[in-house]
Amino acid sequence: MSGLALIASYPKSGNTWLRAFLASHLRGGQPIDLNGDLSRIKNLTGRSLQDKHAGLEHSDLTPDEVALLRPLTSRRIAQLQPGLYKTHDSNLVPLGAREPAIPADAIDRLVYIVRDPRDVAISMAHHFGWTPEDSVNQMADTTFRMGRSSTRLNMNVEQWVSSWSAHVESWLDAADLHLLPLRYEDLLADPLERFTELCRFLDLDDTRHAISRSLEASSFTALAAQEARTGFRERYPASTAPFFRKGGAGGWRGELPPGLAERVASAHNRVMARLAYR
Amino acid sequence: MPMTDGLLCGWRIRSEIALPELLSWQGDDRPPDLTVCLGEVDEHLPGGREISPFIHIDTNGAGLLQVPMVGRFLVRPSGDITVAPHPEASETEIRLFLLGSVLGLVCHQRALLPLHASSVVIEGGAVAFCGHSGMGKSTLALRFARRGHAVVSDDVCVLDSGPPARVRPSFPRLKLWRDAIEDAALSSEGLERNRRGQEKYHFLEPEAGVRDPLPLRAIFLLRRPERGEAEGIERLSAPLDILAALEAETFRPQIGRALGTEKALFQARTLIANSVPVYQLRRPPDAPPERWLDAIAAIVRG
Repeated sequence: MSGLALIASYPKSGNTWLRAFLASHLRGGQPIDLNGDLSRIKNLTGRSLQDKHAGLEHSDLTPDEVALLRPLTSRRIAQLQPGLYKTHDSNLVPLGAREPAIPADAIDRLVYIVRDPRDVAISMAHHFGWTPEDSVNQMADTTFRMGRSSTRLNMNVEQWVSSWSAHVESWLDAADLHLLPLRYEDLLADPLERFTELCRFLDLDDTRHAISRSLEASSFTALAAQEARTGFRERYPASTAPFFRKGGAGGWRGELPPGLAERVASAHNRVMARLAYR
Repeated sequence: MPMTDGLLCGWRIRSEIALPELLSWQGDDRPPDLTVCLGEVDEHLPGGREISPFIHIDTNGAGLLQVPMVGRFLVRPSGDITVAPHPEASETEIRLFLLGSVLGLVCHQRALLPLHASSVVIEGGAVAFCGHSGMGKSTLALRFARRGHAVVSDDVCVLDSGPPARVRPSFPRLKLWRDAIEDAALSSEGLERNRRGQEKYHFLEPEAGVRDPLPLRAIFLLRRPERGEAEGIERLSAPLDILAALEAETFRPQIGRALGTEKALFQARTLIANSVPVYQLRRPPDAPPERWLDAIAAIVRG
């Protein structure tokens, strides 16, 4: 493989589930250690990876400088350390930059996971320790960045996430990209079929038996039980719930106040219709 | 305005930019080893090759560092450094790169090993803390400084060509995030910001500087415990493990490779591996540093 094979998504859309599946699948379907094996699918925006390939410390740069640097670093990683990575970057040009953080020429192929934004809103609120209203506002913010260090160092570098709609469309409508779009809800509804598609797309073992084993090792129950036992180092410090909280589809109906659900639906109406989120 | 020359890693440095981090030069009246002038710097380095996105090196060994909002730095092997600041750059921002990336470049040009480490004086020698950003190098150095230990280096810890393995002291400044400053019961008020708008500050202990090279007493590699490993300190014994670790902790290794100084750097690392104890200090990066200070000091005392 040459270049980056990316698992991309807006936050809280199933990215970690896919990483867990792939971590197990790459080990022949063995059980995985959440705090060790997930690093088989590294975060592209991890600070030490970015520092190493940029040849300097991002903590000495302003967010605008990071935005200028990231595409150059992405190309170096694609060349010198190609492979599977996750990312929450959008495919948009950040304010002050000239190209997106991961330019198309650095990408070998890309899996894009999309999830009903109303479920994302609930999940984000628990993850970041926000109110559901904060989540809904953030998801409509076209200048939303993550990875910014405030009073302490963030273990990721800055990512230009933008709004939920802009994020989804930036990847789904990208030209010249070898792309596999996956709906989180479809992954839940028919895991065997959808993960087979995923494995074929990534040139991995696509036999039914192998996929079933890896699915079992990365099932929600297995991951949640392990988090309860050993903790999960990717859980956000201010989080108000376990990282593996529910992992379902349609939970928003009971949890998201109707007024907020309507606000999500009206803010993201076009993209939701396109993905059949009703 | 005439300014006194400064002392940086044993070099006499004459600079048109004030460098309050440095001790003043008190050595012989040799001509300056390094000079820093303000002037024009072209954005292209003729014959230059991209080493990393912001750094180019030409066939004579000159290096060009360009940081978008800070400026351009042309670093010649002779030790003449020209700085073309960005109109909006503050002096702190210029010094940040001059005493960081540029210092690293100067070391590589002179075939000296720069480690990415903070170091302090313990028992009359330098003790270095290495690790990724965020692992707590500067925070540990700060805690030792508060206990009266002199600060030898922050980002770039420069090894003398040796033998024996010795550190050339840089300057007693630490770069710290606000949380680390407040956790040490200090205040960030009045401190210079690392970059505009950033909650990272420059903490200076000017009275605590060190002039002369110091024997390197020990290196502690700061690591996060993996896969159920216990927290604690463990000495590395296999020379190959030590060499690999030191290679990973070399500051801007791409520049050394481009300048062809790998052999000298390898020898410097071998000297350390053969003569200096190297430990792994495993702790979660956000764990309070206090409980490790006595253990580190005790190990160094032997």
